[in-house]
Amino acid sequence: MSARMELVRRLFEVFDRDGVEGVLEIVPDDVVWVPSSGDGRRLVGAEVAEHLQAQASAGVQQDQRLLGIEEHGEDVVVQGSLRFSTASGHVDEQLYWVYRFEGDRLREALAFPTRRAAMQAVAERDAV
Amino acid sequence: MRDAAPVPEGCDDGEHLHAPRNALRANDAAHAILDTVYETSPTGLAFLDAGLRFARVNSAFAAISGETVGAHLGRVVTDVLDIDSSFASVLRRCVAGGADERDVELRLRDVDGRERHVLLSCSAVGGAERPAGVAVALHDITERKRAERDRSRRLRDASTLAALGELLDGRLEADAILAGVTRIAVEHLADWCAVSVPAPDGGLRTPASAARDPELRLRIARVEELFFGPGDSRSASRDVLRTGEPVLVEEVTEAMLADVAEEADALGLLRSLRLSSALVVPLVTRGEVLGVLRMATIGDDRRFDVDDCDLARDIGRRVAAAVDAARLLRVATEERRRAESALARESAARRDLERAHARTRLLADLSGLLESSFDVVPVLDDVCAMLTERLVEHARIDVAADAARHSGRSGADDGEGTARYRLAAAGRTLGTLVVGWGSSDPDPEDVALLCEVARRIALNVDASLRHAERAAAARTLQTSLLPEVLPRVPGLLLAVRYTPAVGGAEVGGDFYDVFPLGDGTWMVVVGDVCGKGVEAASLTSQLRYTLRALGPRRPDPSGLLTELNGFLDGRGQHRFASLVLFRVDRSRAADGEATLDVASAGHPAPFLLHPDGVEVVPGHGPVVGLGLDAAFPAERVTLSPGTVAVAYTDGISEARHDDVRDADALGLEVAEVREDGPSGVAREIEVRARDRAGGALRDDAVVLALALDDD
Repeated sequence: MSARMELVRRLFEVFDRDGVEGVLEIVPDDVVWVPSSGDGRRLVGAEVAEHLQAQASAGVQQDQRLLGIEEHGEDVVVQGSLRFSTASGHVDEQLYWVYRFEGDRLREALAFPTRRAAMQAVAERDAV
Repeated sequence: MRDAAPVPEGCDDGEHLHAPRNALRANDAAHAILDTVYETSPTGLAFLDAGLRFARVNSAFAAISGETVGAHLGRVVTDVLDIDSSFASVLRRCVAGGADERDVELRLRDVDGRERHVLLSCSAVGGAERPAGVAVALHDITERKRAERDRSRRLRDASTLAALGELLDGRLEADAILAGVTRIAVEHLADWCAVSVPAPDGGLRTPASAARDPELRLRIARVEELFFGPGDSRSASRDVLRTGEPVLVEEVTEAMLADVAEEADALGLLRSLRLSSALVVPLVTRGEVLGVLRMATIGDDRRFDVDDCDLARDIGRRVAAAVDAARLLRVATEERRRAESALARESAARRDLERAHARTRLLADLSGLLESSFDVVPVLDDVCAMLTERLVEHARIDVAADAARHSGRSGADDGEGTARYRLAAAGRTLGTLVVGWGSSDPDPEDVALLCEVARRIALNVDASLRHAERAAAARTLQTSLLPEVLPRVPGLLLAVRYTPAVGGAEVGGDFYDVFPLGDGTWMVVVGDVCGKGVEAASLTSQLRYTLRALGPRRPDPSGLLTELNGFLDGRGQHRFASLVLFRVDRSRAADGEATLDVASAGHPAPFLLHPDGVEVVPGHGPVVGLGLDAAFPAERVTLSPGTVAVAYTDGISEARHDDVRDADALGLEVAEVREDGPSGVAREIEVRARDRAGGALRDDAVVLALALDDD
């Protein structure tokens, strides 16, 4: 397993154990995050923590699991599940993330609703 | 005037006789002149001898006395003339002293009793040693005196009425009017004056009196107290009160006093007052006699006459009108005061009513707020805001630590003007309502209202806590009835959204499941058990685990539903459920595709969102659990890349009861988000259902979407 895939696995473990604050401690400050719950917004560094904190304040509990992982060039594609639980129910979604690296340095983490969309993003980078 | 010896007629005209003759002629001439003067003089002339007997009187004198000329002659002056003693005294002094008197003003009464005013001049005739008599000249000045008196009266009347006008001008208190009029009467008209009015006991009371001599006022009051009790019929005042006509006593006689005083001492007391005349006039206005104005003169200097009576009557009318106006004003003022008082009471009552209505509305609105949600924090914030807006200066609600809540407006500090109300329910203290009243003291009704508000808040907090506890228990149970997480199904991408009904304090009957059938295919289940609560949860659990147990043996959805229906029938319970089953098989379809065997048991029809449209998969079976020997025929459809299959419960399709959406309609309205995959489609379906419901969904709802997980 490559260092990039290892880092991504570790991110899921840290998030599950320490939350987003723990994740931010092991990635560069300028990583761009595009979470599935962010309506397409690009959050830089600690902004993602603020976003998740706002969700928590609204009573939303978030859990995510890694279901599958594969590497495409400098991109790591993850199939995972994401569960948002509130007092008024829950949402359970299976989706994809693309962790985009430059070397071993994480630059972006992007959420996609389908594998097709995730792979299209990978292909576009490869084309560039 | 000198006495002259008579000249004998027929005397010679000789020299020694010329002088006497001449004297006689001269005497005759003097007599003639005297006669002429007597006859023609407008002045009354008379000659009285030393005994004051009339020796000669001219007609002018007789006109003054009222007797004929002849009736005077030979009679003593006092026998002819009704004169006062001073008249005779002047004549005697003149005869005795020989001194003339000039223009002594005197009064006499003529034969008809009429008073006349004269100027008396007299000259002694014959000297003091041998007085022959006295020549008298009387100048009748009666008319002049009358004119002077009339002018004086007019001046007096004018000044009296002017003073009265000044008194009455703007004077609106009856007692002040009556006191003033007695004072004016004494200043201008009388020596004593009083106003008497009927008293409630049937007598008379005298609210005002005045006298030139203060002691006289007291003495008269004493006499009245002695002789004229409340029911004394001898009182002229009673006559005036009864008849409305004035009583004028121009001269108070001894007989009158004796008539009143029955005892010697009393008569002496009456005499000591020296009353000379009296006058009682009514205070009458608008035909009503309000009282009497009483006046008296003291001594001989002046007495009331008809003119005085007329003036007094005029005064009486004016005073009565003023008193009546004052009385009417008092009545009107009293009426106005009563009306204002009544208006004030009405206004106060209206304000009280409005405040009561406001309190009722506030309590109703607060109750509505408290009942609007079990989410206690925003509700209590709204309660504080409403209280601050409509009742108190500031409000804060502190909820006990076990409720882990805090609500309220900032700045609601405890301090002066702050009141605290304990929030207690079911025997436990849940918190405190703290309000500030500002600078004003609280109305007791407002305090009572806040006590009730505190009670309702406590009930709400208690209910919210209990609801939260039930909801937590329900969530825990509900979670146990649903998959902890969607499993990873090779080649499939899944998304599910589960929403319990509003409140969420009970376990709902909607459920879903995804499990493998052991042959490489997977079963996807969406169901809805009739009812809620523990029994529904129990059946939900039975259904899930029965399906999981039967599934590998009867993997076809049709057979599985038949088995399930039989199983439920055997349990003899009266609950039923609707379900839709997808059996996903990637092995039978062409590469890159999958087949879906779909069977429904009375469940809303699922649909597929294809790139080229919506495909509804109608179900034909009835619900399970009713003991019916039913069939559940399955449909096979193809799940192609890019297609999203959707199953849901009636909480989605019937989010709004008057706008039930069928599968085709639901599919069409989310077709545009198909490329967002199962998660995007499921999210859009729920969002639109919430929109139709106006916010929160009223019933449990499940929407499950799946698609091939391909590139």
